[in-house]
Amino acid sequence: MGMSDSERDRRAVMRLALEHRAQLWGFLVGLTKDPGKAEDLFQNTYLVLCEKWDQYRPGTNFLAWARQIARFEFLASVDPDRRPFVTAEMEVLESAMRAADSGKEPPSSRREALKRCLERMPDARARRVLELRYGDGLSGESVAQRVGMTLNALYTLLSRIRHSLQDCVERRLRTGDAGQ
Amino acid sequence: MKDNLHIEIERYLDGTLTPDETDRFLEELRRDPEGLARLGLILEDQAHLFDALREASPAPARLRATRAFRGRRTGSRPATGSRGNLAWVLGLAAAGIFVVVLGQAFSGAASRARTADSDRGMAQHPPPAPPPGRSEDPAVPRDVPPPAPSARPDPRPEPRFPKAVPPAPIAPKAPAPLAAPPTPAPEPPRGPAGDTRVAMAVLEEVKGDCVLLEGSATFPAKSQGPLLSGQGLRCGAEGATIRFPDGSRVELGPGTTVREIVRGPDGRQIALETGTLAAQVTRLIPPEKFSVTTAQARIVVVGTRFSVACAGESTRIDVREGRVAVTRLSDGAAVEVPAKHSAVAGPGAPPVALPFPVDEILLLPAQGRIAGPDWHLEKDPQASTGVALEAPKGRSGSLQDAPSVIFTEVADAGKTYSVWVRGLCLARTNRVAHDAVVVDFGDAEVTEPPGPNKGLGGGPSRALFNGFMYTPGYGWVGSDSDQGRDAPCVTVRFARPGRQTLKLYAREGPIRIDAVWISATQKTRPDDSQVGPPAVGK
Repeated sequence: MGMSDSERDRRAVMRLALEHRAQLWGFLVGLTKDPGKAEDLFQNTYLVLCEKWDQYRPGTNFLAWARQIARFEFLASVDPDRRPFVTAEMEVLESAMRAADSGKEPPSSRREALKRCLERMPDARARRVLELRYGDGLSGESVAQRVGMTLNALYTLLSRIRHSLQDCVERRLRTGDAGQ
Repeated sequence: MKDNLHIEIERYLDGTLTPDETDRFLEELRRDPEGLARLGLILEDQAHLFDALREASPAPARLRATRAFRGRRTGSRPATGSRGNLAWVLGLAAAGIFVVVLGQAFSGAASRARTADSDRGMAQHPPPAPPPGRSEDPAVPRDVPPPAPSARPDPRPEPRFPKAVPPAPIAPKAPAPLAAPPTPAPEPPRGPAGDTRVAMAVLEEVKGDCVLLEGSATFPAKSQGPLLSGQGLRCGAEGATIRFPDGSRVELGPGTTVREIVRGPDGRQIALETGTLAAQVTRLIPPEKFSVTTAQARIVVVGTRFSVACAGESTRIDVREGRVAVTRLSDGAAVEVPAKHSAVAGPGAPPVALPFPVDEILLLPAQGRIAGPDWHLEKDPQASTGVALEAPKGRSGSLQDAPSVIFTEVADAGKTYSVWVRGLCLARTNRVAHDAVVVDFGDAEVTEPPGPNKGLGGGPSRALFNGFMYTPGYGWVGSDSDQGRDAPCVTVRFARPGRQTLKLYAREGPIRIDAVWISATQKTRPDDSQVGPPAVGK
């Protein structure tokens, strides 16, 4: 039996959600500073998207809609006393995500480009820092201890790494070399 | 974008900014579109980095990551390869489906529960009419049914998924984390359209008619509402309490107007226009500061308890704990005000730190230093602190070098204090001869009321307190109660301000002493049930 239109639409919305996972999850990591917690909240967000897929109006900004749901999920997880403090932070982060999102390439291209840049990263120490920070999930302080740096030096290094990765990603995206 | 913002972003992402630094960082970011965009990209790239590097990371490392991040499902991710990542993504999708299907399987109960949760706040996700954008996926067919126009979600969504969907390889989430608090998160009042500002503090308690001030506009102030940077507060007949993220509190008295509270380069700044303000500031890490500015003075604090009263042409600052720096704005005259001191900034003489006026001194047994064998501490449930000074025997003759209990306390000079001693006569017979003590006040002018026992203390700086036998339990004696329990009390005026040394001698015993109360206000004998001034030391 063929798939109904409605089921096809639902799956399309789910695909959109997964396609924009990095932006949603990144938004939640920014709010929680805890990738594990962000992952839980993303999962909750995803469940709500599963339920409310038919409220999405095609042709409108999916990410804005999904981010609003993620925002409510985050607020629901916050102690009511703290909500007034996080509301403003949330708005700044939303502005940041919007600013990064404007006129940008599809997320999958960026993901692939970043992956390639990472693979060709020449600086072994920079690679090691990223592996510890993101692969092993260590805090900045733990990473700094492991690589024998001060915390401030680590932050400076991380900032430089991000710059060089972003340059590399932009270059690849400009030349259409994202996945090569 | 400022150079230091790059580092601040790293610290922010690492969660090592203090709440105040976070406020400042967000404020700065808000004014820096380039910085905002950079943070947005970093957040997105971080997600890709996590995926790429955790995928490539060997198993033990992934386990460590799981622990470090308390991720519940990280371990369920496939071990390696891009297929693994895809499987994780599909697993995630399946997890969503699985939970919903469970809800359907149990006659919709879970679904209803979730909907109920939603109604309590969590999933009152307004089904926003999403703004037009470019994120439309071409995969979405054009004939998707239009979204529900209502702002409320469908309370009981129709089943959409076949029951035969197999469970996902990841554990379904229990409903608990989905539970929402009963009320939706409060939104801060908006300033100009599109303005995004940091909530400086929460209005912990608003009494009566207080209003938030913003330029010439006013908004109703509500308890638990946010106070945004740049807003002020005007209190009517009652006051309000403001709580900052670090736990610092500021209480505004009735009729007080704070023109604005902002986060500036020097930390939090409160502009007090008129009225009174009492602050308890959590100890700050330098260079973080907390300051209050009035028309006359700037008061800079580093973790303390203080109050400011601003009226007319002067501002008074009382510091209870810690230390504050006060600068008179008209000429820059500055003074540091230590704990238990005050300063006034106004016209005339420059501000000077003066000790708080000392009106009440309560000496308790545990504060005394016992010198010699006459006295000892004795547990006594009838005593106000559960312990009393006991002298089994008295001592006649000169008390010059006699054993005593030595107290030190701060008092004002030239102020007339009344003295009251709370004691208990322990004798069972001939009690009238077993109920007297002497107090030596040091460098002070001591006045005893007239009577046959006047001067029995043995010196001009001493006074006799006699007649504890007249009450079966502890009672207050002000001088010689043989002349009547309500006879005038001993008064004392210290010659020098500051630290004073007092000595307590046993003239007759056995006797217990519970307290010595030296008061500028208590002119008549206190009730025997009273154990001293209600707010000594506060």
